[in-house]
Amino acid sequence: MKTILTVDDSPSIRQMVAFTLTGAGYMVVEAVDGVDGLAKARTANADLVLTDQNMPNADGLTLIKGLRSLPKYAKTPILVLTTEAGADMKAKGKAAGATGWIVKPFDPVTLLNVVKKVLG
Amino acid sequence: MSVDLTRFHQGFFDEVDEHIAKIESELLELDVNEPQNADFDGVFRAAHSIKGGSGTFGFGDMAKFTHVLESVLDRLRHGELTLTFEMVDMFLRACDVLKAQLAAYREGTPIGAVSTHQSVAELEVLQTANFSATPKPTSAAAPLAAHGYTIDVRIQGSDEARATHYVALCAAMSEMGTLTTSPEQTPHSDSWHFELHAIVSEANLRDLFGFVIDEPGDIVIASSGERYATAPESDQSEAFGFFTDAPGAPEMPSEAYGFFADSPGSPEAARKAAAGSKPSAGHAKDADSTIRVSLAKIDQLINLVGEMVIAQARLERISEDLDHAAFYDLHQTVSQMQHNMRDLQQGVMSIRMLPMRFVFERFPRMVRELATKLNKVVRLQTVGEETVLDKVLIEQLSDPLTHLIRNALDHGIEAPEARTAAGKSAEGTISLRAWHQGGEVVVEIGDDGGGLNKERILKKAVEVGLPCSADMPLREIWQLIFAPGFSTADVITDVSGRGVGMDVVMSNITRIGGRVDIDSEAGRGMKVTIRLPLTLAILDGLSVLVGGEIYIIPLTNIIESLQPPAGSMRTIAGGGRIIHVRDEYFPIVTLGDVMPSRDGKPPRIDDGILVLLEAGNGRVALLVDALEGQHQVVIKSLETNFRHVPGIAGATVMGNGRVALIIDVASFVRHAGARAVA
Repeated sequence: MKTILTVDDSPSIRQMVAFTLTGAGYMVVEAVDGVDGLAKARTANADLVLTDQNMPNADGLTLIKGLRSLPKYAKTPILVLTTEAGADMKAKGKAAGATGWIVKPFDPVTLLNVVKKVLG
Repeated sequence: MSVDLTRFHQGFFDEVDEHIAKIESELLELDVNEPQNADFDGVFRAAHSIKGGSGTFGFGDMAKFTHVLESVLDRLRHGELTLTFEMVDMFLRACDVLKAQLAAYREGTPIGAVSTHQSVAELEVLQTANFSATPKPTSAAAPLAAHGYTIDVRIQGSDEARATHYVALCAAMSEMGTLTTSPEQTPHSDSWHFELHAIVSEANLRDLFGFVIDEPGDIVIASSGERYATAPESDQSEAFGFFTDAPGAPEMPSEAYGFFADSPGSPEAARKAAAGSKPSAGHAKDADSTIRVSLAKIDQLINLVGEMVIAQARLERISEDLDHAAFYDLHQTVSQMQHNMRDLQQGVMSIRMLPMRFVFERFPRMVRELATKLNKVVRLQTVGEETVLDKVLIEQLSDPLTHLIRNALDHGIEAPEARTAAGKSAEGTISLRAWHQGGEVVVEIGDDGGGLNKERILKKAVEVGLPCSADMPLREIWQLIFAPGFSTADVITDVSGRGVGMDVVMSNITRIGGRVDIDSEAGRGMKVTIRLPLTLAILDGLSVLVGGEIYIIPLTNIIESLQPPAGSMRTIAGGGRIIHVRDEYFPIVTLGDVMPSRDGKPPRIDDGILVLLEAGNGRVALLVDALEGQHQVVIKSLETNFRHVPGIAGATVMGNGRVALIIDVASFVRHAGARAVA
């Protein structure tokens, strides 16, 4: 079973993501911000990380940089969930080491499509 | 597959509630004269979160609205706008709109368009125009040369909405530069034509109109003779994508930058969502992970723990009768259980506890608005917001506190001139403090206004026929304002009347087992102190014996217990008896006065014990046979399990398995009061 780490400060969004992915047979680990995300990632061995960008304590890009510095997350797919998908955000995302992005608002079907594409 | 998103709505609504409260409280903390850009981060983040969630869960109106709000906050955050007092008001009105939208979503009713449109129009002006008194250069954008634009807009919506948009758009564009409109054009036309010469980018111009139009094709902007319809920028239209060469990207080179045909996120929605926001710096807030549980579930748990506490007490009682040496292990285990049970009970009770912040946080705004209305300068000081109290009590406390703060503002704090003349600072202070004290929560509302006027209160009391005298202790004189007849707007303080609905305050607090005290000093202000039990589910009580039955008296109501000294009692006209204790007279009551009488004869007054009690604004002495001991008891509703009995607040099961009734002290006080009047 593939494990997905979802990081978002909004409980309702987190629940929605977890519900969607759990329903599709993935194991989901939840984290509430970048700091929590990094801590959970260390213990969880996630196959995919979905992170919000705008969060307290540490934002999505900071989390991604942190994850990429860990050997076991060097090649793990990481997607940023962001309300902003302009060129500037994309450049920053790519520089931080993100694999891709999903524009917010998104619906569960889109989310699942992207996840399946990434995890095969 | 399809996922029913409605299951997440409740959680989302609660989050929005919290975000709105956060926006309001942070706005009110802003120092308008010297705001720091970082001060807006929290407000911005909250607006941003509402936008993200409302978009995801399909609440389009709220998403659109917060998008505009967020854009303005973003400008403030980046120093592109200078904060004014009016702007804070505008944001507060925007919070009201959000609250109305939220209420409508919760109820499933249509959203009131008018206030939304007005608020949007106000914000849109700020979104693009520069109101900055001392404009700060924006480092990111290169200075633009003035451009000539012709703008044609097709417009839909109600007349009212159109008119609001029209006025706002004209105001915004006039701020940017020179605006020309045809004299025949009215806000009610189906399409509008504007000519604008201004230093503004076309993107900004399009953003200005973004909220007003329904379809991207509804606006045509021509610049330098070139006419074209606006279209979403291609790099912003992808609902998702992958970076090439990025770790973990799927090996599908042709689709790496691709645009999945089946992606449902509409490019227009994505463009709108993407237009205004920028990531904000981290803002420290409670990152405690939480779950939401219904109150019913918690109550069930509390009830069960209550039963366990009773069973545990019985077990303890039984084990006490057994030989300690022979049953050493049993005693040890029972005592260990007792510890664990206490921890368990405390733990479960703490789930119901909420910080006082939940009531306190609404007051800064109320004080601000009321003070503005009354032309007073008032500072609200809150202390002890983290003091916890049972959720039910918190909710019941909100109205009385609102009342008291209103009174303090309206009638307590003087006008600035009067304050200065009296040698005080022009700015009045209302303080709101909460703390725990010996198993109770104390909430204190103080002001440094004029204080209560003793003479006028006594005069008024005589007018409405309340028993009083000038020799009464001050404490009792102040209590007179809680009498129902006193709730008029007559002039009582030096400035204006206090006593508006104070009886309502008193009855609300009494109903939840609390007491209210007043302290006042002429010219220096007054202080109302409310004492409440921590929770309504358990109670510290004194068990007393009356006619062979055990009754529980809540400790919060007890002043003291005494054996009446000979000669201290008197019979007064009407047959009632009173006892003189130190400086006060207490009417003597027996259980039979209020409750349906039982077979047992009432205790003889000579060998009984008097328990001096206080509830609301009255005091009585209750005659009992004997005092048994102090207990923490779990309150069981008598109404739910039996029926209402006058004089009884509830029941509990004692350690020996017997049921004991809990005395409703307030009803005895009322009885004595009624007898005194009769």
